[in-house]
Amino acid sequence: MVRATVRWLASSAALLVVVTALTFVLTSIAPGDAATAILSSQSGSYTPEQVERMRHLLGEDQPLWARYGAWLADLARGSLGTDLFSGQPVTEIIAARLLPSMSLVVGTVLVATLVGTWLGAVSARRGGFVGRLVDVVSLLGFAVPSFWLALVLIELFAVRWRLFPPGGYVDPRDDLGGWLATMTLPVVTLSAGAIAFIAKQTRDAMSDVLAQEYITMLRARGLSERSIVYKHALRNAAIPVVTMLGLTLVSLLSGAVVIEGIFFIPGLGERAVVATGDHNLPVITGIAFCFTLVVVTTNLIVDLAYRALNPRVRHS
Amino acid sequence: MRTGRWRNALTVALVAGLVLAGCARPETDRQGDDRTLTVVSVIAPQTLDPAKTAQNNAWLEQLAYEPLIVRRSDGTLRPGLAESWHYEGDDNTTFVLTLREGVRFSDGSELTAQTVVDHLTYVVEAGGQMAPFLAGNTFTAVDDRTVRITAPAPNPDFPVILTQDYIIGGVIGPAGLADPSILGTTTVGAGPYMLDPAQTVAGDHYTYVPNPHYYDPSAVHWDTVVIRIITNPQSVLNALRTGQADVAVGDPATVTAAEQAGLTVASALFLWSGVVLADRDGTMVPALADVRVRQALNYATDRQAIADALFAGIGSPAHQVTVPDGYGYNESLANAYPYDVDAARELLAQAGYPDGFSLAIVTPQYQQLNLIAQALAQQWAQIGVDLQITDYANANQYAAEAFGGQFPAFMTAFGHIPIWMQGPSLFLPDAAFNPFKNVDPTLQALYDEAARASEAERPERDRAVIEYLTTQAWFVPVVMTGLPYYARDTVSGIRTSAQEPLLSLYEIVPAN
Amino acid sequence: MKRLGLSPTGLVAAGFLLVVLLASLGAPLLAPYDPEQQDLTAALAGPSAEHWLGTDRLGRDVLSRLMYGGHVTFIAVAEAVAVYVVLGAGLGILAGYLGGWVDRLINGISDLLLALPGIIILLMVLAVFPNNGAATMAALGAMTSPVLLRVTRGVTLAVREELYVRAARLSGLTAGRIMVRHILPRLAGPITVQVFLFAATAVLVQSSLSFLGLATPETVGPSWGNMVAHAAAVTSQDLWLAVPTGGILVLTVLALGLLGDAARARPARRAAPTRAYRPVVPAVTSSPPAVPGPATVNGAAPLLSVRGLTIAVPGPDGPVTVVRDVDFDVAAGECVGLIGESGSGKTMIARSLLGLLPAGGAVTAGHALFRDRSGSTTVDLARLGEREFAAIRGRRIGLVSQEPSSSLDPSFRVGSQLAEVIRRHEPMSRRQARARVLELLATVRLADPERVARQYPHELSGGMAQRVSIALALAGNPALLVADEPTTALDVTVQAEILDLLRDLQARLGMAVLLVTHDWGVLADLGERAVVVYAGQVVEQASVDDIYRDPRHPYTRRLLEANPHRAPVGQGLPTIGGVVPSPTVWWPGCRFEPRCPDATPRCVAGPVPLEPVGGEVGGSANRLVRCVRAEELVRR
Repeated sequence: MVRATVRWLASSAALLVVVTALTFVLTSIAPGDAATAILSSQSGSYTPEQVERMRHLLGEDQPLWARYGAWLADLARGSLGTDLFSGQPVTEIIAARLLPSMSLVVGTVLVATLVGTWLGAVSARRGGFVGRLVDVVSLLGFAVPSFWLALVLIELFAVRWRLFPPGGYVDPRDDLGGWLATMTLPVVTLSAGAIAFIAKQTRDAMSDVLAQEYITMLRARGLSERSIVYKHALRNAAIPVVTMLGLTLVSLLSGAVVIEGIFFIPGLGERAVVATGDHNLPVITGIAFCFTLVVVTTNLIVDLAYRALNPRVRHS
Repeated sequence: MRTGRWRNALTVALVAGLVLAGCARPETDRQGDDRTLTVVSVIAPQTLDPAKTAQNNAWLEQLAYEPLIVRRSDGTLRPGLAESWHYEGDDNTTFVLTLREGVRFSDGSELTAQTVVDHLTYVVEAGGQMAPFLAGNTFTAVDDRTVRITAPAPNPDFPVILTQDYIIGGVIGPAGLADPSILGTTTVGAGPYMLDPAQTVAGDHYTYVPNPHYYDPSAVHWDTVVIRIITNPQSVLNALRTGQADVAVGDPATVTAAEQAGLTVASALFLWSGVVLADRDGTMVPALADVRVRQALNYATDRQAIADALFAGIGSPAHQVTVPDGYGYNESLANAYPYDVDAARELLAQAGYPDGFSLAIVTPQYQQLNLIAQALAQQWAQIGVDLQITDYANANQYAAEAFGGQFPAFMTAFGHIPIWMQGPSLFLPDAAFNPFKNVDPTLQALYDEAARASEAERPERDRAVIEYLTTQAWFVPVVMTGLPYYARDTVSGIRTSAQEPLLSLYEIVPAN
Repeated sequence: MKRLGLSPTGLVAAGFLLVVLLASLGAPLLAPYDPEQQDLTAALAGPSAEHWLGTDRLGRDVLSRLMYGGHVTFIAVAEAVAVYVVLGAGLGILAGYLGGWVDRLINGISDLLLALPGIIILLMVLAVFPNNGAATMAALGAMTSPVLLRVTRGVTLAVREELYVRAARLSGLTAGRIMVRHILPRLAGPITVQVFLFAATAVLVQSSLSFLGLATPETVGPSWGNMVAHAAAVTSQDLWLAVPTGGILVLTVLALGLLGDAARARPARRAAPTRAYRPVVPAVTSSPPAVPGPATVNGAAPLLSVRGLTIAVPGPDGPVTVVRDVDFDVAAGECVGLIGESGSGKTMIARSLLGLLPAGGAVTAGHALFRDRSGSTTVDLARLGEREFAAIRGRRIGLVSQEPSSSLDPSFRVGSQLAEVIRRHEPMSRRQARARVLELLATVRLADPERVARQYPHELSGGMAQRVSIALALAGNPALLVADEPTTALDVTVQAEILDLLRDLQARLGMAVLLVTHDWGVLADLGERAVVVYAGQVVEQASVDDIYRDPRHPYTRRLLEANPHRAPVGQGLPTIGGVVPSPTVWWPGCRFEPRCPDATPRCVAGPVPLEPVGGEVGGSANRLVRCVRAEELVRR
């Protein structure tokens, strides 16, 4: 147990270093820099001396490794630097935007898992027409581009029928109902693809499981069909599905970027797009760091769940 | 059965969730108990520092920073933090302001003439977008309530510059001047409201609450003012249609739909959109150095077609870098460059480019500018000009490259401002929109005359400047559009005019 | 490609993709308009004769732009797929084949790549290479390649261990040659599947980036993503524009996904195994006259009476009969052995009694009369539906199968599984069930039942698992236990213990046992009577003693001679020449005839009935043989 923890810590630390270092490298070799971006947004015209001064101010004239070292030093003190444009501490920016992003992503994972496994189980059990129908619906959910689906859903459910707001975000601590209302359409949009994926994985896993000998034996022992499918089979099929959840979450993080923009949710993804274009290095690195933390944590949870579900692994 | 229990729990949770969601009161119902004004702006500010922020963030600044002089929606001026003002002498170089009494900033500190002097000094030092207008000026606190500004050259537009439209008139309090770094995310002003950082998420929404020290509480009509940033024009429209916001900055693409949805649409001609032919010295593209080439480009542009296709109902062809009834507008030049492909070809041939030439141009994606660029590409191809378009979704990238002189030409949408102010912004050697720093003595002379002119003479002098710019074809203006504002019937006071096309938040009151 | 031909949806999907691909690649020749040609007077026009899909905001033809846009999409997908395959398959093969530190290193890199927050990296790559689709797509391919890498590695590992590959290595083939000749062909299927799925993802990612304005801006040329963005700006004015632009994306991704599914080499269609009992042919209502059943030891009617049982399973050209006209009885408390080679149909017979025939199989004729506990009513197992079987399975008839390790649910503890079955058959409290669990585990002679109850199946040895399986079968107090090769998978010492246990249980619980086996030793140990099955028919029925001492049917005789346990030391083991005939070629006469040394033309003249044969003095009276020469051959 201790060894596994140490290993997890080591690999997570390595990942964080790789991602943040990569961020530094890529952002600095990208053409343009924050100095000119700031100057042109502020004053429009600027002299080369002004650019030099600004670059010095921002630390952009330092060698790359020095800047990365400084960032790591900041990190050790619990700081992620400050926004190059507004001076706001990056930790504040992230703190304000973390909950909206996580609401969206975690909400989607929950909804997609529940709906997806249910669909997959039903489709594996019934086969035939229902199974094919579930297949097609799942595939459609995967195929429809999220941004297109979002536009259609907004036009119908928000604008024409006034059932949900067309976007925005309400803090659940202020107004739980409002939070649910604003999250519904974005989560539905983002889930579409994930549900398809999970339903398919579940169905494949369930089909495999239902063909196993022990399922026949359970039947021979007189257990009800419901118990066999939804207790025994699903439990065994959950193992491969759970291991896919980690991957699903990582891809959801990416999908969330587009959704946050369309529904104007003040999340991390939306900010990342702007910050990348602006060469706002501390913000980008901070967000990359945050995303990676989420990924690492998810992997840990998935691993723990896998161990809990799979007795063979637990005891080895 | 265990599965049965799970299912029941799930059903209960689902029903509870739906009920809660249904119970969420849509913001339409939130009238009466808490008066909140929600307005939508389409560009996120990089910083809230009045000395450094861009002009299109005026709404975010005017709530917290009341300017020295306030401009009403009909274009006339009224006292702000200054109760009176006048020019001394007759050469427009000295301007004097008398401050209101008993004005306090949001942190309780007092407004004095020295504060104003320090503020203006800081504005110039910070080097923001508006700084050039006050560059080289001397600021003096004559006494506790009197400020004198002396300019090195005539400046006929002091009052206008110091209104809310150009932001720098909004005086920063001593606490902010002492440590300007806090101004990026907090406000220290003497306006009717102040920023509430606890309810603000940078880049998404900014919440303003009443300033307890404001000198005229009766003018504070709202308990909260929220400025939301929504960049997608369609989403902006949706926010209004569904009651999530009361007022918004609109977009030509959604005007028709806004009207159909029953929203109030206020729009006064304000912007001209078109091409800045920056490389007039021919450094990157020799052809542009010849005025005939530039004029040819103007003749080759079918402005009406573009206006009809992209700005139906809210845009009209523009031939001058100003708007009808606006500063320096020449009636005689209303159709200065009628669409005439043959004339264009003729001019090109005369200039020595019968086969045309290649021209690189950069464009942002807002205000339909990238679409106009594509339309121009097709039209100019007919005279052999090959327009190579570079297109940026990130506005800062576009700005960096356009103003950085990396392209011989760039698309822009420019607001209609006094000629004296257009100079340092648009066409004088140090202007941001003149990245190649072209010097034109004739233009300079015309400009200086206009700066010195008296109130009576100025319109004519202004027209002379615009005429020169038009005949010299420094630009290819394509369309003039208004800046549409949308509003729901929950508010009133939504007015714009030719003299003041920018909507002021001060005049917006609840509908009843 | 041949596999695709099987599924109609696969064909349609492939056809659609082909059309789109051709339209895109052939756009310069086929498109009705220049994609950049504007007509400002006809902006945002709906579909018309001139513009089949309407026009956009600058009056450009939507159809033409979609065709040219497809070009962008397919190039992008090709770029991404190329990197994906090269990295994924290449590294996967290396890792799987070479193993060792190479494997560990590649796995480490693969885990790293998978954990990267994709969108951030893509955004930054876009910032570094603005408007360079190739770089972005390459990055996407690289970051997703671990998915393919895992699949490839798995297959490579499996193939590497196969005998023919090991032989190839031993015979000196170089690693490279082996990889190309043996491993790559096996990878073709899985790689194809993954490639299609990834291609679908690549299309979506590329169009998303385009939509956000980060790649392929409109000014460079049309792409499906930027066309949707273009349409998105005016949905309030004109909703139509969003339809073809979004629609082409949906359809293309759909097609790629369907092809990925179709390419999946699923063996026989895994039809839902729950419908285990779906009659292939309606059961025959009339039945041949019953052979007089042998009287049981105490004269009572038999517990199970099978008459004329005929079972068919689905075949490629229709149902195939695999068991025909089988008769036998099982008395209460008796142990009857069904003995025969594999493929003789004995397992089918056993499973049919519980309605657990493999998918599609059904009893098409005959009866299997089963007397209930009180003795008053009889139920015909051959005519029961799924719901009626619920009352039988586990409660009246139990089943123990061959493979103990795979007959237990690996995710639940032994005690939990037992308790579930117990409470299913008899409502009781948790505590009572716990007690009964321990009781049952003790009954099957497991030392330390408490400990075993807490264990998981994978912690049990073969013998222990089989005991648990037996305990599970006993949980409902069945009158009949069907034991399908219960000891075949166990080693010899454990075999003896299990058989001992079964004998003991049979005696103590008065339970009847139907023992299916191919092993004469097992039969001798446990059985009282034997039913010899050959090619779907009963060929001989007698007490075990009689069968051993005096086999009447030529097949039985040969089978006994071939029994390794009885073979004389030092001599070659006799075998029966020939093979068991397949059900598809069965003929009316004696099916053993081709392999029978005593065959005569009489044997195949017509169907041979199963008839009683006179026993020797002192032998039991219930001998049946299906052989026209039964009497004759005795005298030999």
